[in-house]
Amino acid sequence: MNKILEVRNLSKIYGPGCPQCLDSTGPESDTNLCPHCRSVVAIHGVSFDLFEGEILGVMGESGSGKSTVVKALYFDQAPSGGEAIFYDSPANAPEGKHDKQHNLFALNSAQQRWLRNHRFGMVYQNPNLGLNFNISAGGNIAERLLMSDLMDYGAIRERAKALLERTEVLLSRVDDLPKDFSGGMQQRVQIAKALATQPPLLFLDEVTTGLDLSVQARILDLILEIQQELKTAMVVVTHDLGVIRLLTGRAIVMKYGRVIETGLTDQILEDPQHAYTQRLVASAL
Amino acid sequence: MIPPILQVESYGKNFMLHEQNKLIPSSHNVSFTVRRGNLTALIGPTGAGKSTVLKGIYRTYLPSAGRILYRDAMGHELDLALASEHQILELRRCEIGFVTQFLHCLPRQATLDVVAQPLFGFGVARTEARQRAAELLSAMKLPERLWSVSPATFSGGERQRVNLARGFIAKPRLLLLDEPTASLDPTTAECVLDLIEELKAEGTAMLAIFHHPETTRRLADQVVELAPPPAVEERLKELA
Ligand SMILES: Nc1ncnc2c1ncn2[C@@H]1O[C@H](COP(=O)(O)OP(=O)(O)OP(=O)(O)O)[C@@H](O)[C@H]1O
Ligand SMILES: [Mg+2]
Ligand SMILES: [Zn+2]
Repeated sequence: MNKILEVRNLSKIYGPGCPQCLDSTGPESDTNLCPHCRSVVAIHGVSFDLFEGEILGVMGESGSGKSTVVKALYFDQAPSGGEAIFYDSPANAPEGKHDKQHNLFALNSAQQRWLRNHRFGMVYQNPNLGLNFNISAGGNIAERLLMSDLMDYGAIRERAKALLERTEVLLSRVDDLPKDFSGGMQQRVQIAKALATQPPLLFLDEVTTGLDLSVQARILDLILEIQQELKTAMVVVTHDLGVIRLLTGRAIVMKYGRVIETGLTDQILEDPQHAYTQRLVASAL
Repeated sequence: MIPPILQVESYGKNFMLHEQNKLIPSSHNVSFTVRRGNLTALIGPTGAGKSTVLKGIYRTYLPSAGRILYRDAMGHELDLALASEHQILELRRCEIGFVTQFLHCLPRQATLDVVAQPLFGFGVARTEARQRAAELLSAMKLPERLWSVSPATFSGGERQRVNLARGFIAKPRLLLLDEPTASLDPTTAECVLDLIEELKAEGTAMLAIFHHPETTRRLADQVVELAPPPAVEERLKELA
């Protein structure tokens, strides 16, 4: 098994920051808001490794910084500090153009965009963030394919159809606008779009939150099927312990921007070590 | 003599419940070995920590004391209590199986695929893996009409057979069994015991907890009796 992503001391502070920010925030301080300068320490010192084909869960309550972690890694938001290295498989890095190993936050914006369009995928809780609502479902996927590689119109359309079929979106609806879709269907289109370039690394942020249980179950099924077919490595952000148990092999637990516990998922759920995790797991039973 | 596959030395497990500020001892000073093609049975009253030992070996529980020495297929020895998370995941995928009473599976996955899953993980062709799953399920007399539906709504006994078939299918080097026949009627249980003997004969090392003493008598090569761990106060006195 090879490492695909290495994250070290990732941090994101909203606001001016001051020398007391770090000591005045975190689980012990019971806040992420610095009382001295009013900055929000959204995340600090977040480190983890992800291996090829592995699914890592990021759990924690609202505001603990889960989304901030994946947003930084997907270049949605520049972090304030820390490092992340993406190890691409050499077969997929065009010779001379890109290194096999990418120091994510040291890249220029063109290089970051290239990775985002070719090698990473993201599925957001809010479909508005992941989809262009002004163009059809098929158009959304075509858009991503166009950004990644040049292909002729016919090939793109075929590919888009195949992806929507794989994610179980009715083909009769390829030309419909996302706003006319149900929530579950919008998530399927987002997943199809994220997978268009067959990325080895996928970020999923609360993708089933707010959906009916039966719709949720089918989306989770789909995610796992895809993971098994394509061996995609995933970082799954969710506050839902059921999702964590079904999807992930390892997990990290966050509170007020810090990682307070990491472990095998079954161990975190059945033998949580930290007082906070014990409360979290007990309240979900 | 060939070294054992598993050697547990002075294993202990306490749970620290922070909310209640309480230390709960669950297993205490447990030692035994498991050899290739042998079955070691754990016996003892409720509260003796039998399941806690199995879960400690599988690392669902983090051990508090002792060593859990495992010799892998390459002959390397490692302490499961200290192994990295990725090492454990790899062993779970390739060498160590665990049959529990619970089944966590996807709501939509057909029983046949749930059972074949470990083989899929090895890269065995789907049709071949499903074929093998079908053989095991029919050996355990799970009605064929259930094979194509999800086990999510199965009865306890049906579910247990799905769990067993999934645990058996990849022929793990070490198999942990927690009351594998508890919810089965005597005839079905008999089929399962036959399969356990078969797997044993093929070389799988097993560590098992059985509900019925006669099952232990019939299948076990070694029997380890566990006693409930002393309460914390007793232990403190011991140390004083
Ligand atoms: N643009 C911003 N400006 C200021 N603070 C922000 C900004 N974005 C996020 N935050 C703060 O950072 C903290 C972490 O937010 P984040 O969205 O990562 O939490 P989360 O764990 O994903 O929560 P949820 O489960 O509610 O999605 C929160 O306190 C949030 O209010
Ligand atoms: Mg979030
Ligand atoms: Zn500050």
